[in-house]
Amino acid sequence: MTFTIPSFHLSSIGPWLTLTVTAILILVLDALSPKGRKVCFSWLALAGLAVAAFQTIGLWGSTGTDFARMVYIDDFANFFYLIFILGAALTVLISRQYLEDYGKNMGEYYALIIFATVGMMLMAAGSHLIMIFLGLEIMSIAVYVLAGLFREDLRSNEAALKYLILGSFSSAFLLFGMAMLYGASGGTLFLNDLPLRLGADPAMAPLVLLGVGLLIVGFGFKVAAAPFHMWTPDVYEGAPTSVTAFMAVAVKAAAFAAFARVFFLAFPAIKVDWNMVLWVLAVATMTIGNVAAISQTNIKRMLAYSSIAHAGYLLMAMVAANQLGAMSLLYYLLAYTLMNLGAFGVVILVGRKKDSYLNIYDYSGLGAAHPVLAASMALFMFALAGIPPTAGFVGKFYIFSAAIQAGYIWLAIIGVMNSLVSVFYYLRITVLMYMKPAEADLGPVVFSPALTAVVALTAAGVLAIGIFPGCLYNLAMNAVKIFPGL
Amino acid sequence: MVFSDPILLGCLLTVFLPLSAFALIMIFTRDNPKLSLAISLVAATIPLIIAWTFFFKLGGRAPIIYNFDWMVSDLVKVPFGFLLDPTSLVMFVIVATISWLVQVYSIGYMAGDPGFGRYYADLSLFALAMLTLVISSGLLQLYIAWELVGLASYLLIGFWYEKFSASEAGKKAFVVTRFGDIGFFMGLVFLVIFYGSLDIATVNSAAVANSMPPWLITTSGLLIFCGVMGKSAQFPLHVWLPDAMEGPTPVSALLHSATMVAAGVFLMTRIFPFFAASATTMTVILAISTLTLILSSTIALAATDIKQVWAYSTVSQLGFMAMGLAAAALASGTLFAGYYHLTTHAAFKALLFLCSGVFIHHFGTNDFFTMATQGGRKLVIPMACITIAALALAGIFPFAGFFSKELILTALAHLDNKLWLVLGLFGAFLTAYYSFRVIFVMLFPKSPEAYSKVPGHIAHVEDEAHGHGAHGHADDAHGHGHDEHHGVPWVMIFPLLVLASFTLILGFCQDYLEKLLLGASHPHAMNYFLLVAAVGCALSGIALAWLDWGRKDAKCVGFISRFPALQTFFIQKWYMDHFWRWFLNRFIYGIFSKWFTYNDRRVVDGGVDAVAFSTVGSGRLLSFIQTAFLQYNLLFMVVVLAGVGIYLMMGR
Amino acid sequence: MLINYVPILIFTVVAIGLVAVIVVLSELLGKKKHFPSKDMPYECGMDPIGDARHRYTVRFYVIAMFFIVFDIEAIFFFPWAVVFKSLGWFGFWEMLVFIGIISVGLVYVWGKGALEWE
Repeated sequence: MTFTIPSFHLSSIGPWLTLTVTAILILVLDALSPKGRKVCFSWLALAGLAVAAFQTIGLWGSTGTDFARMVYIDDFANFFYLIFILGAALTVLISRQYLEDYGKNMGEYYALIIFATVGMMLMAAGSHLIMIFLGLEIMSIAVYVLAGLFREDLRSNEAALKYLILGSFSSAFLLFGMAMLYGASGGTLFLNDLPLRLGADPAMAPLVLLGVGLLIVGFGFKVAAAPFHMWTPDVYEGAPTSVTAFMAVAVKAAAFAAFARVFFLAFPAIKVDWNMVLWVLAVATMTIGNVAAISQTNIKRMLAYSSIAHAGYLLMAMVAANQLGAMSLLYYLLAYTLMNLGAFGVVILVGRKKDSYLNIYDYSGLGAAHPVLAASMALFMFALAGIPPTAGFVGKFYIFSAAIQAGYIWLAIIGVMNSLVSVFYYLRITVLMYMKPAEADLGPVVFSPALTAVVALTAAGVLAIGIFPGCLYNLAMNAVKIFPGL
Repeated sequence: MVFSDPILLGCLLTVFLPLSAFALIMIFTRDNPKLSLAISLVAATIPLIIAWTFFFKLGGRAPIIYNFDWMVSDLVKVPFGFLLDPTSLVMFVIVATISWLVQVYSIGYMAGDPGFGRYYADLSLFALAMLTLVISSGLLQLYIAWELVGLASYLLIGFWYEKFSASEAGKKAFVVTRFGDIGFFMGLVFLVIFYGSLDIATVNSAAVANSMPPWLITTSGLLIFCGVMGKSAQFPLHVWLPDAMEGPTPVSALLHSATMVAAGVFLMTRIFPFFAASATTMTVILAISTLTLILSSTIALAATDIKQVWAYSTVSQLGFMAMGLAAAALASGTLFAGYYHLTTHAAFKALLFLCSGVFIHHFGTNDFFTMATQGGRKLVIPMACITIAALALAGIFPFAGFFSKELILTALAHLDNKLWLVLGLFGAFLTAYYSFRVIFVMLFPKSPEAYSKVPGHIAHVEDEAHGHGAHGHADDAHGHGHDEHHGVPWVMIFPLLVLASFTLILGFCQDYLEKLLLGASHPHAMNYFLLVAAVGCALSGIALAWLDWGRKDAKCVGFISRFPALQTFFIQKWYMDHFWRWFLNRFIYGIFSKWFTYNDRRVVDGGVDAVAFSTVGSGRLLSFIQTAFLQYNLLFMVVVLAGVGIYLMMGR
Repeated sequence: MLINYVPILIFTVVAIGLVAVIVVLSELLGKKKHFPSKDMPYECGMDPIGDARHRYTVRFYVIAMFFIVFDIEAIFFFPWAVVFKSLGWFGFWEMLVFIGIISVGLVYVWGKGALEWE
C-alpha cells in the first residue's frame, strides 16, 4: 500500500495556524499561570488576530486551491477572514471590562473566541462540504460553551443548553443534506465538481432537492432565518452580552459565507428551485424580526430581533443571486459587523456593572448625561435603520438594487417597507436618549479605554465606509468574481 | 494619492474641516464658548487661506476636475468630485472670505449668548455646505449641498428659537424654499432620465454642442430655475427672505444677503451655457427677475425696519443679477455682468448688514428712525461704512456697485425690447432712493416727533430700548441699554473695514476678473447715453431722498405718501403674504389636508390599529410557538423542512 | 461464495460455546453465598436502585471525557501504526503534532486541577 502525500503550502492556511497556535498558547498559559495572577490574554488574543490579519492581507489576490483541493484560496475567503478577525478583535476589546465585572475574565474565553474564529475561516474557505461542516462544528461548539459562560446564571445556562440542542439538530440536518448530495452526485462533495455531477443523472433530482432543502434548514438555523429563528431571542438575551455581539455578527457572517459559497457555486443550475424558498424565508425573516422587535423593551432582545431582521435583508441578497447581490452580501456583513458591535459596545457601557440596565428606558436622558455616547448610539441606530450617510444605508441600497436587478421588485418593496418599520424601534432609542429626561440616576458610566476605543472605531468605520463605499465596492466586486454561475 | 496632490488635499480640507468643526462642537464643546469658537475659527481660516491660494495659483489655468465614484452599483453611479474653474474659484473666495469675516464679527455680536457654541456649530455647518456647493463637480452633489445650506439657514434663522416669530420664520424659509427645490429636483430627474449625466462640465458642453434635445433643456432649465427662485428669493417665492431677518444679523449678512441667497444666481452662472441654450427659459427668467426687482424695490420704499430695507434690497439686487444673466443669454452675451454684480453685491451687502448689526447691537432696535433719533451717527466708523455701502448699492462712481450695475444695464440695452432697460433704470432709481432714505435719516436726524407720521414706525417707548426688544435676545446677559454707550469692539469694526475696502477696490478689478472668468477681457464700447441715464437715475433717486428726508425742513413722509393707495399696497408688501396665506388655506389646508386627514384617520390610523392588534395577536401566536419547550421548536423545524421539501419536489 | 463466510460462522459458534461453557461451569463449580449487595445488578459501583434523577459528581464526567480523548488518540494510533512505513517521515511528524496538541490538552486539565480528586 502506498500513499502519495499531496503537496501543500502551510502559508495558504497561515491565518488559521496563527490563530490556532494563539489559542493553544492562551490555554497553556492560563493553565500554568498560578491562581490569581493576571495574564493579559486579551492582548495576546489581539496580537494573534493582528498577525492573522496581516497574513490575510498577504494572501490577498492569490487564487486557487490547496490541500488536495480542500481549501479555496481566494479573495472571497480573504474578505470574510477580515470580517471574522475584525469581529473577533472587537469582541475581545468589548469583553475585558465586562468579564472582569463578572469575575470571569478567563483565558478560556479568549481561546474559545479564537477557536470559533478558526472554525469560521474553515467555513469561508472550505471547498468540500465536509470541510464546511467541520468548520461549522468547530465554531458552534466553541460558541455553545461561550453562551453558557456564566455558569451560575440560569439564563445563561438556558441559552447554552437551548443553543446546543437546537444547534446540534441543525447540524444534523446539514449533515443529512450533505449525505443526500453525496448520494446524488455519485460520491463527491467538492463544491467545484458538484454542479456537473448533480446535473448528470436526472433520476437523482429529488435527492438533490431534498439535500438542498436540508442545507437550507441547516444554514437557515445558523443565520437565524425565520422560521428557524426561535432560539435567537432567548439565546441572545441569556448569553453574556459580549458573546451575544459575537454571535450576532461573526457567526452570522460565517454562516452566510458558507451559505453563499455553497449555493452560488454548487447549485446555480437549480437557482429557480431554491430561490423561491429563500424568497419566502427572506420575507418571513424580515417581517417577523422587525415586527417582534417593535414590542421589545429589553435592548438585548430588541437587538436579537433586529439581527433576525438583518438576516432577512441578507437573505434578500442571496435570493437576488447575481454578482451585485453577492457583492452586497460582503459589504453588508462588514457594515453590519461594525454597526452591531458598536451598538453592543454601547449596550455594555450603558448596562454598567453586570448588565444592570438593559431596559430601553434606561437610555432616557443619555443625550444630556453622555452626549458623545448618545451620539454614537444614535449613529449606530441610524446605521441599523439604514439612514444615510451611514454604512447601513449603502449596504441596504446595494441589496435592494441587487434584488431589483434580478427582477424581484416585490421583494425589494417589502424590504423597503420593512426598513421603514425598523426605523420605528431604532429611532425610539434615539428619541428616548434625546427627548426624555432620565427616569432615575443610574450611576456613572465607566468608560474603560478598550470599550471607548471600540465605540469610537466602529462609529468612525460606519461613517467612513458609508460615505466612501467605493473602495470596498471594488474589493468586494473582485472577490465575488469567483462565482461564474451568477 | 491624496497627499501627493495639494489641490485635491485642499479641496478635501475645505469640505472636511468645517464638517469636523460642526461635529466636534455639537458633540463635545457646545457648552464651552471659547473652545467652540477656536475650533470654528480654525476650520474657517484654513479654507480661507486655501481659497485665496487657489484663486491666485489656479486662476488663469484650465479647469481642474476631480471625479470619484462616490457610490457605485450596476444600476447607478453617484459621482463625487470637485470642479475648480474660474467661476467656482471666485465664488469660493467670496464665500470663504465673508464667512470668515462674519465669524470674526460674531465674536463681538454674539458675545454672552447662551447658544454661542451652537451658533458657531451652525456657522460651520453652513460653511461646509456652501463650500461644497461652490466647488462640487456634479449637480447632484450640488443639490445635496443646496439642501444642507437650506438646513443651515433654517437652523440659523430660528437660532433664537424661544422667540415664536424666529422659529416661525425658520420654518417659513425652509418650507418656501422647498417649493422651489421640488422643481429643482424634478429638473435633475429629467436630466438624468433623458440625458443621463449630471456632471456640470458635461451638461454645459452638451448644451453648447446641441447634443441635448431642446425640449429637455427648456423643461429642466425651467424646473431648475424653480430652485433658483426659492433660494434666491425671486417672485413669488421671495416671501421667506424678509422674514429670515429674524435670525442674528451676522447670519443675515452671511446667508441672507451675500452668499447663500446668491447660490441661486451662482447655479445659473454654473450651468450658464445650459440655461442660455433655451431662449424660452431665459425670457421667463428675465420677466420674473424684472418683476422681482420692481416689486421688492417698491416694498423697500416703505419699510421702517433697517434689516427689512436691506432684505428687500437683496431681493431686488438678486433679481437684477438674474436679469443681467438672462439678458446676456438672450443677446448672446457672457455671464460676466451678472456674476460681477454678484461679487460686488456680496461685498457691499454684507457690509450694509454688518454695519446695521453694529447699530442694532448698540441701540437694541431694528427701527432706523429710532436709531437716528438716538444718535446713530455718533458711531463714526459704522456710519461711514454704511454710507460707502449705500453709495455702492445706489451705483455711484467709484464704488463697486457702479461698475457692475453699468454692465448689467449694458446687457439690458442690447435687447431689442427697450422696456427691460427702462424697468432696470427705474429699479436703479428706486434702489438709490430707498437706500439713501436710510442714510439721510441716520445722518441728519430730526426730532422724534418728525417721524411720527411715518407709517409703520412706532414712536419709541423708553423701556423698549432695554434689552434687544425688537431684535429678540431672550437673555438679559448682554442687553445693552442705550445709556451704556461703550465703544464698538474691534472684532466688529475690523470686518467692516475689510469689506469697505473691498467695496472700494472691486470696481477697479473689473478687467482682471473678466479676464479670469472669460479668459479675455472685452473692451467695452462706452455707451455714454446709458452712462448718463444710469447715473442720472441714481442721482435723482438720491436727490429725491434728500428732498424727502435729508434737508432741514424735510417733511419726512416720502413722496410715496402722495399716493396712499400705492403706499398701503407697498406697506402690505404687495399682499404677497396674504396671497400665500389664502393659497395655503384654500388649497393646502382646504383640499390636501382634508384628504390627508381623512386618509390619516381612516387608512393610516386604521392601519396602525390593525398593526397594533395584529402585533398583539401575532404576539400571542408567537408566544404560543415561542415556548421554552425545545420539543416544539424542533417539531416546528421539521414541519417547515417537510414543507420546503414538498415544495421543492412539487416544483419539479 | 458463502464458503467465504465459514470462518465467521465457526468463530461465532466457538464464541457462543465458550461463553456458555464458562457460565455453566461456574454455576456448577462455584461456591454460592448470597447477600444483598451481591445480589444487586452490577452498575459500575453505583447504587442501581433509587431516584433516577440522581446527581453524579462532575468529576466522573471530567474523567470520562478525559478518557474518551485518549481513547480516540489510541484509535488514531492504530491505523497509523499499520501504514507507518509507507507514510514515512511526514506521517511521523504529523502524528507528533497531533500528540503535541493532545498533550497540550493534558497540560491544560492538569494545570486546571481537573485531575485532582478531592
